[in-house]
Amino acid sequence: MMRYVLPLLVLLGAGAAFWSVLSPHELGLGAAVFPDEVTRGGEAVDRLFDEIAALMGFLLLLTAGLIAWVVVRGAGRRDGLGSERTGSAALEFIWTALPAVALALLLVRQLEVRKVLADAPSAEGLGAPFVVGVDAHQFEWRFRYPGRDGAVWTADDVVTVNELALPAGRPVELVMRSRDVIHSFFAPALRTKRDIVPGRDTRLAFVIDPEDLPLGFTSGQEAQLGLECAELCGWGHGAMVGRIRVLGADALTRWLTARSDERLATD
Amino acid sequence: MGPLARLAHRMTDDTRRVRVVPAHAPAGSFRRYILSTDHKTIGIQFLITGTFMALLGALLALIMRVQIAWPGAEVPIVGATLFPGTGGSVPPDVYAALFTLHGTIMTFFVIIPLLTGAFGNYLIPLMIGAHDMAFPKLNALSYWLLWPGIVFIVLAFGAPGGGPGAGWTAYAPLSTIGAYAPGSLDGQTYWLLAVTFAGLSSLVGSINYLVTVVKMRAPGLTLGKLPLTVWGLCIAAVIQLMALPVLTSGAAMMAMDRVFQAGFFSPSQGSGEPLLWQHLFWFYSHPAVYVMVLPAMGLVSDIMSVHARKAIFGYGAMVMSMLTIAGLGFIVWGHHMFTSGMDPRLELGFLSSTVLIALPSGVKVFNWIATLWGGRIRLTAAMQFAIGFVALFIIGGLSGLWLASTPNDAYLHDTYTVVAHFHYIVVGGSLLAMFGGIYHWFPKMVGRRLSESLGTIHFVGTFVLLNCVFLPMHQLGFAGMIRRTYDPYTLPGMEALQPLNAFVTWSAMLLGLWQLWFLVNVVLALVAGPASGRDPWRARSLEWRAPSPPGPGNFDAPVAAGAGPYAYGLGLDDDLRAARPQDDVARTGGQA
Repeated sequence: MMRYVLPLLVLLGAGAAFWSVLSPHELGLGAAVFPDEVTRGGEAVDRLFDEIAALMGFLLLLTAGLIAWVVVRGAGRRDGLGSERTGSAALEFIWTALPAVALALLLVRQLEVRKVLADAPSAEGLGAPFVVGVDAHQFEWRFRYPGRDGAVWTADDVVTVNELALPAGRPVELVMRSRDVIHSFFAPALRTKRDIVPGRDTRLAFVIDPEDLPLGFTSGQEAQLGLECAELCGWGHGAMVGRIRVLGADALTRWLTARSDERLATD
Repeated sequence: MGPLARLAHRMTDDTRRVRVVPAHAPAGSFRRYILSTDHKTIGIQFLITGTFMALLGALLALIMRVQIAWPGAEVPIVGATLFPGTGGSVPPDVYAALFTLHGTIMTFFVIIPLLTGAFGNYLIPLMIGAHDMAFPKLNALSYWLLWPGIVFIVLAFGAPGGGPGAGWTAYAPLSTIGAYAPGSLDGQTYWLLAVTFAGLSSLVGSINYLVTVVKMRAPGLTLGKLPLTVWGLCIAAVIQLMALPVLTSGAAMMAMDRVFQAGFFSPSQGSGEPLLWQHLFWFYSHPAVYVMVLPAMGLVSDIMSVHARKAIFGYGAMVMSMLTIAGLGFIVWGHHMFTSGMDPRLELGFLSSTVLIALPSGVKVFNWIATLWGGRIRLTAAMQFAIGFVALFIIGGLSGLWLASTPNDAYLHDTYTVVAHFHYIVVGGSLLAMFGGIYHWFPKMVGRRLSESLGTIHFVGTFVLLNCVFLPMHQLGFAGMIRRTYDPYTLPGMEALQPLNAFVTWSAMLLGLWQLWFLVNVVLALVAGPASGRDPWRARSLEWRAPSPPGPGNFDAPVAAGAGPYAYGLGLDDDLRAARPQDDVARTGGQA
């Protein structure tokens, strides 16, 4: 009986894996799907993910199919010995060379996407980057926007807690510092994360693409994205969450000026 | 003769090989079963110790899974006793200790001691036709060095100030400054001591394995006839010898940071660099993955060859691919640090080497399939687990392609997709291979056979439930659920993941319970299992020529390599059967 049960199990396992990896965008179990991406280059990242998933799916079904086939065949013959073949240089060459070609193509694709991502914030016509300081500590995010002096990490910064306001359509540059342990800035919709290591500045640059945002955004509403700390930073690690408000570039400038005036008034 | 040629000559020259005179069985049962220097006893000691630590590690995982699926819920059965202060639910500091100790115990006190300690000790001398290890006392030392480690890791739970909570990776400065992880004051120092002792145990064992294989092989057993299990164990030993000193140094430096505020890794102590720890840690811990996988690959290769009644396909390619994996394994550690903000040029190097390592892994998979091809397959429990290993190793290996791809890793790093990936390798891979190994070599160890029917039930449930536990974790990661969070549902939108998490937790509990079949099988076999004879599988490697179980000195007659461990066919089968008719106890055994 195991002659058929075992191949079936192998095929089922590979089939389930195939299903779960090939369509995480649409077919995921329940809500377990990628959140929509909103950055320039995010599409390329998702496409690369799908290409790798397609390669994986193909190899999964190929190998599981082969295993199932050889087991059904081999387990049906009892007694005696198997074939006396001990190897084949030609086969070894084929199953080294073909995957090598596939992996080389994959490497090329990865380099392309890396370039897309690296170039996105410095594309022409996007203007100067909007710089925000990220001040991470157990277990809270503080965001520092340039005050009158136009620079972050200075005394007149405008500060918000656990809420990051960012412009759409303009490059963003985060200058991140940690006061205590390693944290990691992770916004799933931005398709990126970057560790914040104490003792040094780490930087993260991206552009939120207005066209990727929900339709409401164009009529003046703001969009909201989730923000998590992705590096274990102590007991409260999982509670170190925040949200990102995405505004139009003008709305953001108005908001920032208002906050800056407010702050001067209270000083 | 150049130095290399001289070395090669020494390693292959029969006349230089050492013969150990068979020891007499020590008189007292204390010397015989506890303070033994017999490699078989030490192997079984490692096996039993590792199994108990596995139960502990699994219990920690299950308590964790309850908290992940139903945050704040009372843990059934053990909750009220363990966490009276919170009414039976897991407190946040304990949760951090749970995942830290689960990872540490499973890596350093379960998989590595079981694969290299238990299988390495038991099988190496028998498979190469030796009477014992080259240094029997060093061998006993290797086992007993594990114990201070076990004592420290268990004490760490109740250390003054609480258990270690910085994860099994112990990233500084969370692990070095007490104030950052209140509750893990001495626990983290105990953790460092535990890891150091586990490392010393492996180091001592590794030296012994290599010397034994180089100096004590049976006449005619050239390196080209060495069973792949022995190759896998030897390559793992070389990795341990090269990488462990780095981890041990790192642990010593971290201990100095914690005790003397030395400032190696902690910026607040002056000159510290947190990334230095990550480089040291992963320089050991990535190769350590191959320590956990290469011996498993060896076991699976030998099991497959025996139960397919066929030589291993592409022996040379199998050995070369293991060597290649081990070599490349030393230059890929940076892929654990893609999001740490390292120089993009470094990233590119680590990205390329990581993609490359898929090639030798693929070569192994295809050679295993080709080994089955045209075989007369006996679907024994051992063979089922071996085939299950290959199927799950493929899934675990392939999901590595995403993680190697830096643009995708920027998303997937530290999410549950990573948890899924490495559990497919160490549970779907190493654990299944070890079960296969136990089903295969149990008759040699105790002279009795396990039930094939119970073994089949054990395999089917384990295989199905394993996938139910770890496959959905890929999806959780896609949805953005990160590792090591006390309550995954604090982020808006994450509540929708709760049903999937509950499914994983239920499956994990069933998977744990399902292992009772194995326990029952072992107990029944020990009490009333049918006698196995020397060679129940009609295998070719040398260990099956010794009595079951082998006495002191292992072999009752001189052994020579003959045609080697994979000499199926070539007219040898009938000769062997004619020579040893008493061994043919279970000719058709295992047609489950």
